[in-house]
Amino acid sequence: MAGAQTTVKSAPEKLPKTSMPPASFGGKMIYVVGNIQGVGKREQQEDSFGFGNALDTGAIDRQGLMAVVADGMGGMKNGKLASDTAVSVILDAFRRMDLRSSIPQQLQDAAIAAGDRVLDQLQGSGGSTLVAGLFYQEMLWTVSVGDSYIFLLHDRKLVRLNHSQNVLSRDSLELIMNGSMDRTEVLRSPEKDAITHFLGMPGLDETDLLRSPLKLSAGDVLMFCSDGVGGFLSERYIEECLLERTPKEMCDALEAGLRSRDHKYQDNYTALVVQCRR
Amino acid sequence: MIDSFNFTNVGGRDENQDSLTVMSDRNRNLFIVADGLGGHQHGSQASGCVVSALSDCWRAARVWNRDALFSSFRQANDALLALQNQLRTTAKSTAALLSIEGNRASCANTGDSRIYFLRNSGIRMITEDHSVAFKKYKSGEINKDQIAADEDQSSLLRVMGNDTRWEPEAYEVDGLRPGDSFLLCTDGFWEYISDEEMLLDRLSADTARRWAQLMLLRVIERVPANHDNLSLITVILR
Repeated sequence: MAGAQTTVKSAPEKLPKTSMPPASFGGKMIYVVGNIQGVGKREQQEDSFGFGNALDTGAIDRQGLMAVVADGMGGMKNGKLASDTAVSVILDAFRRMDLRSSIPQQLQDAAIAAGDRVLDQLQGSGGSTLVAGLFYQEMLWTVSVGDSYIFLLHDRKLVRLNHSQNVLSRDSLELIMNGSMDRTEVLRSPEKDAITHFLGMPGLDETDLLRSPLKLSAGDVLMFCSDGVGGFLSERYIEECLLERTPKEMCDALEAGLRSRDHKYQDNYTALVVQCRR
Repeated sequence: MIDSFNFTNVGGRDENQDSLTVMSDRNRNLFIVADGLGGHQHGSQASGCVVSALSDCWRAARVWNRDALFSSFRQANDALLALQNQLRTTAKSTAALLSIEGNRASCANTGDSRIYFLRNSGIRMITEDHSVAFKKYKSGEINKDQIAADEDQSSLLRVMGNDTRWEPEAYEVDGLRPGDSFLLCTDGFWEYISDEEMLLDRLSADTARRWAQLMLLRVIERVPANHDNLSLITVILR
């Protein structure tokens, strides 16, 4: 499904007999989505992804849109099993979500439940990262575990929304709290990129979460991706890609960037792109 | 109830010339950051002097209104001028001050230390930098994110320790609600992080301390070895 684009619209209200235009005409936010996925230079694909309600126009209004990416690890089939499980538990939780109750709490609970399932299935011989976003009433909530990426393009500028949970992050935080801003030593550690939190680890209790939602604006673009994209393309290049006009063009540009770099150790790569329009 | 966290770091410099203070008195809360300029440790004495004088005046003020605020800045400036005489130095300092009482906030700054206000999903820089670079931004010559890199960024048009051009600009924010937040910071910090990132980290944090940590995790990736002193205070109303 490279570069595929789906237009997601809320269903237009039925016109009353007097033919007045619907109150929401031209005003409601719509989401246009796209995605890329590839195996890179690895033997098999261990990333998984999914959308909730992407093609169900009426459901977006009632229940929102969900985007999920999970990057599995554990080799053999374990990685794929872990990431598949992560995606399906999150999508399942999304379908049963009570949007009048705390969404951040439910997203965190869902992530931890997904972690428990993966632990059950794989007993520590595999795991997965997770990034997920819920788009509802023009607001965005997100949850993240591990080192996948959530990017926001707003006002033509790219920013990273989530923080990686890895050794580098943990050591950097310790430095900061001890009064240092010098990362030189910490950057030398061969383990710096090892993730510290993942679905399938015993005792997962901390997720990276938007505790209050982000209000979305027309023109905003969100990208949820594994580190096969986030770790292999520069932020500057990603920003250029997300400045393209449509998700299809954005995805084509991302794919082209990865192919042209042709990195020797290119990881599995997956990216979901959601463009907000009015 | 107010949740706040403060952090300062010397960076790659020999000494930390930033000063800051957090205090509460009666039902008022005070937050100040100040960035000193001047060699031989005089910069840190300058910012320390300004913070000290402003705090003393704030505590002594029966009512904290515009008059009290301007009078305090005048007294702090006089104190710094006296210190300059004493030390035979031209050391100067910025100052950014936030005072919160009930649901009202009073902000003031001289120089290029900043105060931001955040509510729900929005962030707004309350203060304006008194710098040539900021003037260029206001006149449309450069963008907001080009200010940090501009060659005129360190040319200050107003600063404490001047005979003239020390007066602050003052702002009020009324109708404060639980969840509203403020960020005070010196240029060693705001140079390395965008407004959008400050907002995203606030949305991800449940405490003032966590908010500061998330922002500092971004900044630590970007600061070069010889970076400037940096200071910040995060404030969240409960």
